[in-house]
Amino acid sequence: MEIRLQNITKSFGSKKVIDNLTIDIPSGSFTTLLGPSGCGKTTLLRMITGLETPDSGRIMLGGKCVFSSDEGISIPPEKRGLGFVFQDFALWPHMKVKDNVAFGLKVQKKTDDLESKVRNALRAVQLEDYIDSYPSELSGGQQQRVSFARAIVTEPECILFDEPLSALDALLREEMRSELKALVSQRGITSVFVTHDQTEAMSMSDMIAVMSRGKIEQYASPEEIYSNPASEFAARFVGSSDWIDDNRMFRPENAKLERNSSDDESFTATVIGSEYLGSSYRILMQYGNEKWVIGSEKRIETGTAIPIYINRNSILRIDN
Amino acid sequence: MNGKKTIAFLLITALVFLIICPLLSIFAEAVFQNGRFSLSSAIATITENENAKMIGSSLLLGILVVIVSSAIALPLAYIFSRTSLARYHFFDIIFMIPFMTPPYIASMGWILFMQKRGLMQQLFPDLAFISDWFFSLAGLVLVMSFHVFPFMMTMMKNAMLSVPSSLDEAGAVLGAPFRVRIRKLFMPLLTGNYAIGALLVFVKTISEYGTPSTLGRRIGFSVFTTDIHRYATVAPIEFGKSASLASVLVGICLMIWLLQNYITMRRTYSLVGGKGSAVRYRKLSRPALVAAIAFIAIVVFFSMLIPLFSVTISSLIKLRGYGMRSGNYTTANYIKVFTEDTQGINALLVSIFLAVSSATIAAMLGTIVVTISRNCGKKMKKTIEGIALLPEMLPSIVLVLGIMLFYNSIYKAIPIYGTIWIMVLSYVVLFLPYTVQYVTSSYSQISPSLVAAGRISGGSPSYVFLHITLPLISRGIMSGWMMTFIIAFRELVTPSLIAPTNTLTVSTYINRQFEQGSVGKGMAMAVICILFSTVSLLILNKAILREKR
Repeated sequence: MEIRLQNITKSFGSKKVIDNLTIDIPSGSFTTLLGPSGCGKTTLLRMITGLETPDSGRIMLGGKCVFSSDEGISIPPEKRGLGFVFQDFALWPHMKVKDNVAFGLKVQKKTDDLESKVRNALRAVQLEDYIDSYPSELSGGQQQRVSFARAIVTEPECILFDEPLSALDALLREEMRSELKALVSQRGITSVFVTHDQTEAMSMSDMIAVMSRGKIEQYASPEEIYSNPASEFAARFVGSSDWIDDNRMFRPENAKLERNSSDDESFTATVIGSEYLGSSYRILMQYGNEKWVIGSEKRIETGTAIPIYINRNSILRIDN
Repeated sequence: MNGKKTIAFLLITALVFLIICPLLSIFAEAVFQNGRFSLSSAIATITENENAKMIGSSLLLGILVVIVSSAIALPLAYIFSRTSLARYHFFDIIFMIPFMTPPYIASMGWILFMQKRGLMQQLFPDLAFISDWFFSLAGLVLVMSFHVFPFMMTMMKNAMLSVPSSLDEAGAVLGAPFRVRIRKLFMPLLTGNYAIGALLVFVKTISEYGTPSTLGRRIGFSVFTTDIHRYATVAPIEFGKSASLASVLVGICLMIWLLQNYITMRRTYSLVGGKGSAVRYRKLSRPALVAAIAFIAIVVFFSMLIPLFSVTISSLIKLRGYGMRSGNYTTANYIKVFTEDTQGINALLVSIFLAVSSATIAAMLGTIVVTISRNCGKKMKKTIEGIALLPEMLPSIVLVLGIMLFYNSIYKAIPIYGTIWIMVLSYVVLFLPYTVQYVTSSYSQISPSLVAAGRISGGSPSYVFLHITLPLISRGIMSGWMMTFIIAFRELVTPSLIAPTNTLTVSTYINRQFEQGSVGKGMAMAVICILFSTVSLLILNKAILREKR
C-alpha cells in the first residue's frame, strides 16, 4: 500500500511539530522515520493511523484519501485498516493472549476460521503455546511478539511501528530486529518504522527519512545517506563523522595512519586518548577545535602528534 | 460547538443543579431578607454572643484535636514506616477500624463506658473521678482524636516511606548523630506533608457532626455543625441563622483548602526516586521496641477496644441497673430489634435501600463524570472535576442543608422534598467524590495506547469503550460502589436533617433508642451496623485483591 503525505502541518499550541512535510512511501517497502526525540516522527506516524489529526495537508493510503483539510475528509483510525505496533506493546491486560490477537478480527467481522487465524499468527511469532496466558504472565520479548501477532493477524497492507524495540534489552533487540523484518517482508507488508536508533534504522530499512524539527532532512536508502549525507544533521545523526572544518567531513573508517595513494590528503592531529575495544583500539584525537575518533590496530601514546591520511574522494562536502 | 463540548456542557449543567445550586441557596438564605439583599442579619447572627462563643469553641476544638491526633499519629507513622515493626502489614487493617466505626457509635460507646454507674465504674469503682474529667472538652477532644488519627497516620506514614534511607545514611556517613539527622534532614522534608495533614484533620473536625451531636450535646458543647442542625430542625426554626453559620463554615473550609493547596505547591519536595531509593528499616533496641509496642497497645486499647467493648457489652445486657454480672446477659436485644416492633427492620431496609440505590447512581454518575471530563478540553475538565469533588471539601451538614433549602424552594417544579428520593439525591451528592476518585485513579493506570490499539484494530469508539476501557476501570467503579455502599449504610447527617416523617434509618434508629432509654436495642443495632460495614469492607478488599493482575 503506497502512503502519500502531502504538505502536512501540525502544531501543538504554539509549537510547530510538523512543518509542511511531504513524503511518498512506496508500496511493499520498509521505511524508517529516523530522528532524535521531539523531531515529530511519532506524531507523523500517529497522523497516518488517524490517532492524530493534521492541521492541514492531505494523506493518501493506497490511492484512497483518508485525510484532507481542503476537502474536509478525516477517516477515523478504525476505518483505515492498518496495523500498529506500540512502544509499550499496548496489550490489553484483561484479555488472554488469544483474545488480544482475535480482537481485530472480531471487530472487523472477519470471524471465519478465527481460531486457526489466531493460531497461525501466534505460530508465526513462536508463541502458540501461550495462547491461553494473560499478557502479565509473559516476558517483555514475548509480549512484543504478541503485539506483532495482533498486528499481522488482520492481514493489513501496512503496519506502522512506533519504536517497538526500545523497551527490550540490547540482546533481545538485535534478535527481534531480524525476526520482525522477516515477518513483514515475507508477507509483502508495507512497513513504516519509527526509531531514534540509527543502527536499527540502517540494518532494517529499504529507505530512511532522517527527520529534524518537523522536517525531513534527507529521504534515501541507508547506503546513500551514509555515503552522501545531504545535510550536516544527516551526516552527524547517521553514522560517526569526523569534521575537518564546518563543511568537510569523513567517516572514521576512511582514515589511515599510512599514506598508500597519491590521492591521500594528510592532516596532523594530536592523540588525547586510546580506548581498548577488544578487536581494535578507538583513538581519540584533537584536530584544531574538532575532536576526531578513528580506529587503530595498536595503542598510540597520548600527546603524540601524528599524520592522518584520507583519500580525497572520501572527504565529503556538506553544504548548509 | 461540537458533540463532545455539548455533552460536557450538559454534564456541567447537571452538576451545577445538583451541587452548586444548593450551596447558592444557603448564601441566598443568609443574605436575602424578604427578597432584599442585606448583610445585617447575617452579621447579627454571627456576632450574637452565643454564636460568637460557639465559633470560638469550634475552632478551639479543631486545634486541640489536631494537637492530640498528631501526638498519637506521628509516633505510629514513624514506627510503621521506619522500624522493624513496619513489616507487620496487618496493622494497616487494624488501624482502619476506628476510621470505619461511625463516630456517633464510638461516642455512644464512650458515654456508656464513662457515665455514672457505667461500665468503667462497675469494673473499677475507684476510677470514678475520671468520669467527671471525661465529660468535658477534654473527653470530646480525645474521642474525636481517636477517630481521626488513622487519617493523619496514613498520610504521614506514606510521606515518611517516600523519604529514601539514603538521605539519612548520607547524613550518618558525614557524622551527624540520630537526633541531628531527625531534626535537620528528616523533619524538614516532612513539614509540608504534616501541614497538609494537620489542616485536613482540622477541617474534618470542624465538619464532623456525629461526635458533637452525641457526646458534645451531653456536655453542652455547641459547635458549627450542631448549631446549624439545631436552627434548621428545632422550633423556633430559623433557616436564616442556620444558613449564616453554614456560610461562615464554608468560608473557613474553603480558606483552609486554599491554604493547603498553597502549601502543597510551595512546601512539598519531589523526592527523586529510582534505584537505591528504598527505605531500610531501623532495628530497634530492646527498650525502644518495648516502648513502641506499649504505645501501639495503648492506642489500640483506647481507640478500638473501649468503644467496641462498651457497645457490644451494652447490647448484651438485660437490665442496665444490674450491670455486668452473670445472669444479666442476653441476646434478647437483638431479637427485639427485629420483633418488638417494625421500626428496627424498617430502618434496616430503608438503609439498605438507600445504600444500594445511592451507590448505584453515584457509581454510574461518577464514571460518566470522569469519562466525559477526560474527553473534553482542559478548562471543561477542571470545571467538571472541581464541582464533582466539591462535596468532599465541604461539611456534609452544609450540603444537606443546601439541598433541603433548594429543593424546598423548587418543590412545585420537582416535588421530591419530603420524600425518600431527596435522601437518595443527597447521598449521591455527598458520596459522588468516592467514585470520581477511584475511577480517576483506574483511568490513570491505563496507558493511552491500549485505547489507541483498539481503535486501530478496527473498533469504533463505543466498541472500544465497552470492551477495553470499561473492563479496565471496572475495579475502580466497583470500589467506588462498595465504599459508597458502606458509608451510605450508616450515614447520619442526611437522615437527621431531611428524612421524611416517621422514616428511620439505621443511624437515626440507633440515636433514638440511645436517647429514649432502649440502650440495649440501640447498641444491638450498632453492632449489626459495625459487623455489616466490616464484612462489606472485607469483601471489597478480597474482590480488589482477586482482580489485581
